[in-house]
Amino acid sequence: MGGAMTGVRPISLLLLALAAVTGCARDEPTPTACPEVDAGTPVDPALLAFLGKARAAHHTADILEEQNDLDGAIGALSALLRPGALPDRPEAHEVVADTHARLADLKSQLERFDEAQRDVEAGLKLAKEASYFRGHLFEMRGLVEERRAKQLKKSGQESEAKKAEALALEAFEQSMQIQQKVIEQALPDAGKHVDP
Amino acid sequence: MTETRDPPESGSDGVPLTPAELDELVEALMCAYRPTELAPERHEELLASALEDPFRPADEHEVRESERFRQALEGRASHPDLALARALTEMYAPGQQHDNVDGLNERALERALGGSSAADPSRRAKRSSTVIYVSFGLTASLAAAALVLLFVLPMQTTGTSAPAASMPALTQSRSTAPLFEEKFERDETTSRIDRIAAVRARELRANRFKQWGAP
Repeated sequence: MGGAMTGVRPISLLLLALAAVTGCARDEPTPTACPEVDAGTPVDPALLAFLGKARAAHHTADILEEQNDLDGAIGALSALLRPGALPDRPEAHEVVADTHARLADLKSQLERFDEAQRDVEAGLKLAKEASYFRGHLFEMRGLVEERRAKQLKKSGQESEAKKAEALALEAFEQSMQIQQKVIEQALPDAGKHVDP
Repeated sequence: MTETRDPPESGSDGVPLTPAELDELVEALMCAYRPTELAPERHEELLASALEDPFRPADEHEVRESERFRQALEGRASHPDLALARALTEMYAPGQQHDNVDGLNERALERALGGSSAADPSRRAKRSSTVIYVSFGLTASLAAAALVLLFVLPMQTTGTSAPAASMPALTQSRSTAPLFEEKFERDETTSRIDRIAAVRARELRANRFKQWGAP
């Protein structure tokens, strides 16, 4: 034991002891302040509690989806949407918007297309700005209509299937436009033609 | 000040450690030296406990326990965490004793400034000993840290006399869009939520440190 001790870095151990006392473990650098410190609501335990709940719900849904229990996965995710469970924070709104997108995907796999579209609409109300969250919801809208079109074709409803396909194409187009807008916001020169 | 004895290993009171105590001590030292990952369930428990109400005043039990721990560190009582504190002390400063925090600080300064004590051959010889030593200075520091956490910090956060202007700028709740540089894939929702939660968890910890006045 004495030999092992000689290799120990004492300062690290002291920090370890103090970290244990404070219940803290930093595995990545501390986030820098700056744009994040504008007036508003600080990142607080209420937000983290909600995010923890969201993580648990999505991991549960992963396991159930793996077991082909799509109804179970929908039930797990729906627990996040109960009234009063959503803190009024941008992160929570985005997480719920993404959850609606996943619910739309799952419900459309079960051919519950109208319910799926209601989830897309609910998500879009939470993700109003051009973002990957909003773009993803339009993508899901397109996917739902694409699946609906296939189901309608199978049942011989060709004209209804065509309408669904048209809606799908429109939604995919909107999704791509939003994605492009997000890229341009992040990279102002994106998409510009450069002369040789 | 330093108490040196040959094996069998003994505690600070000179009573030899039982095999069970020795095993416990070795385990504590190994955990401190080479910590393993927390079980997810335990991690969730710690998280829940930390999120419950981090700024509440110390309750009666905590006040009583901190006083008991202080007395144990002064050698006037026993406490189940005393062995761990001593083990950490031994890992940090084998064979060294200090009567007070000043002694410990002086030694820490020496180390930081590249003092010669680390190169002292007699000190190296002491390091290789398997005898258990007690360093009161470090345990006093640990006690002081515990007391700060229990008493001073709740006062800082719940007190009404501190001017709002002195509060540090805290990281704010905001859109997570900057965390993502590529369009979302349909089957990666969970990893996105994981990422958001991990980043905000770090920010919450940073906010707490700022509120506690940590640099």
